[in-house]
Amino acid sequence: MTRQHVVVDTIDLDSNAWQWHRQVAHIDEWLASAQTMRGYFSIDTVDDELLTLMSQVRRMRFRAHEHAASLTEAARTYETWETDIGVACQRTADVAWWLCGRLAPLLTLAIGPGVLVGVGAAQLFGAILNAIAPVAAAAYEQMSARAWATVLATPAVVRAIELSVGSLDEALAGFAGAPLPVALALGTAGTGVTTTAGAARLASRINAIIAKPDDAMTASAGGTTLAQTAVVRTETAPAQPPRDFAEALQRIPSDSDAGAQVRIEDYDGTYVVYVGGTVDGALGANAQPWDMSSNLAALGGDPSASEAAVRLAMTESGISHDDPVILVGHSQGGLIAMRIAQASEVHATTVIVAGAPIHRIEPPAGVAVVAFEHRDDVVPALGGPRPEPELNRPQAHYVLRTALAGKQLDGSDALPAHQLSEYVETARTSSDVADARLEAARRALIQLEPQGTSSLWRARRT
Amino acid sequence: MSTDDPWASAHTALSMRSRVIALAHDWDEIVRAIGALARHDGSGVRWQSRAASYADANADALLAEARSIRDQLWDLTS
Repeated sequence: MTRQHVVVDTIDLDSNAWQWHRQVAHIDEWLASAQTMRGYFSIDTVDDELLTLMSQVRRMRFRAHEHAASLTEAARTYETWETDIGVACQRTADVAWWLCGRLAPLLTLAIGPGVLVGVGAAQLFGAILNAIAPVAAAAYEQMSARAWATVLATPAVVRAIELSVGSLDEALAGFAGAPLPVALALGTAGTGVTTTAGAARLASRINAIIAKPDDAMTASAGGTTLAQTAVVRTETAPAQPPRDFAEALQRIPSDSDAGAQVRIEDYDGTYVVYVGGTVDGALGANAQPWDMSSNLAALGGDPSASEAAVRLAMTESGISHDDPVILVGHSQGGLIAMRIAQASEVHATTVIVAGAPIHRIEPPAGVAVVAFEHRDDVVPALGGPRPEPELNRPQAHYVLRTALAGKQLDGSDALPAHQLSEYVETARTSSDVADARLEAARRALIQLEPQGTSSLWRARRT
Repeated sequence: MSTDDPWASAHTALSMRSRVIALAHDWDEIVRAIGALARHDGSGVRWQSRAASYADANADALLAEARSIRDQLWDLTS
């Protein structure tokens, strides 16, 4: 067997353990079947030989059971270790970033000119190459795209970004001159007065003020300056419910859905709402609500255009506050799904998200939340570190996997591990995992009525 | 069970053999499934650590034992 990658993913361990348990159950059935044949044979030697074999099978069954139990225990141990190491790393990052904030003027003077010269030189090199040898310039661009994709898909880089986002408030506190104990006491690990969401909210409001200076007062108070939208139903068709997580993720609107960002399925009063990911990478107030302005607003807890559009589509679909709703989202869609699940006027029962920056959003009580996440996808890391597990606080169930282990990247995609197709594959792998937290969400899909209707919705900012 | 009647005796032997063959076929399925598990079929990644190496060795040993039981079962049918 070739072993090239030092990877331990609990999802694979869990899946393997579950399959071993299933084989133990098969061996039990085999033994029961063999037992009915005992004493049947007229030839004693055959009977004796079967008896000997059955004893051998029983011993093997015992060892297979022990093996399955060890795999399950190993998965739990890795999870615990990961949490402990994560806490230690976050505390270290908090101190490091506070120091960076404190020394920001000095650091800017020391390394700023070097960085500017480096970036300028790279730009100049690209421009000259483009002018004298376009073929070489194209190759250079492809090479640098591949290099960036590789860097951004490195789990250690993703982890570092996650920790840095988590320490953003400490860096700002350091920059503002707050002493370290004060910065830590006010930060996420302390009282939570300053948080990553707070930093995102600040950025979101500055963006709203720049985009619509006339509404600066409203924007500075977190008003809805960039969140006004209109929706139109583009398609209605009969539908059958998704059978599993993979099928649910596949139904999230994508490029092939003629610009629709939301799909709503109605199964006799129980609804499944699918929300797509970011379409436009720009800030400001463009017509596309699924943009970076909506990302910043949703991360900061302010109303966003994409959230307003989903709510509008839900209302126009006839969803009332009593109707059970299952929310499914990818990337920004996952973030919006969590925000909608938090709303008191929506009766969310289950949330299934993939590659969404939802770490700092607490799941509402009584809502089953399953979050698929790749260790080599930088987008979930932008939501900061996952919260430390606490007793009596609702927790999302994270299904973690490394999507690109061993794959060669061609640079055609900047974030290959963030692709919805990769998450569909991860969801497929999870179908072998027997976990009570996953089961609750799976049941919600299985219990849907067998026939329903599906509608696609396209939104634009007004 | 009477062994006086040669037809009855032949019928019993045939029935016995077919039952053992059915058992052997069932066990074949188990061996196939354990083989796939030991090879990590369907898993996107391989893991490597001391604990996982131990788990792999354990799986290989279980597979060898399952194969040995399979061979003995088929011997019983012949």
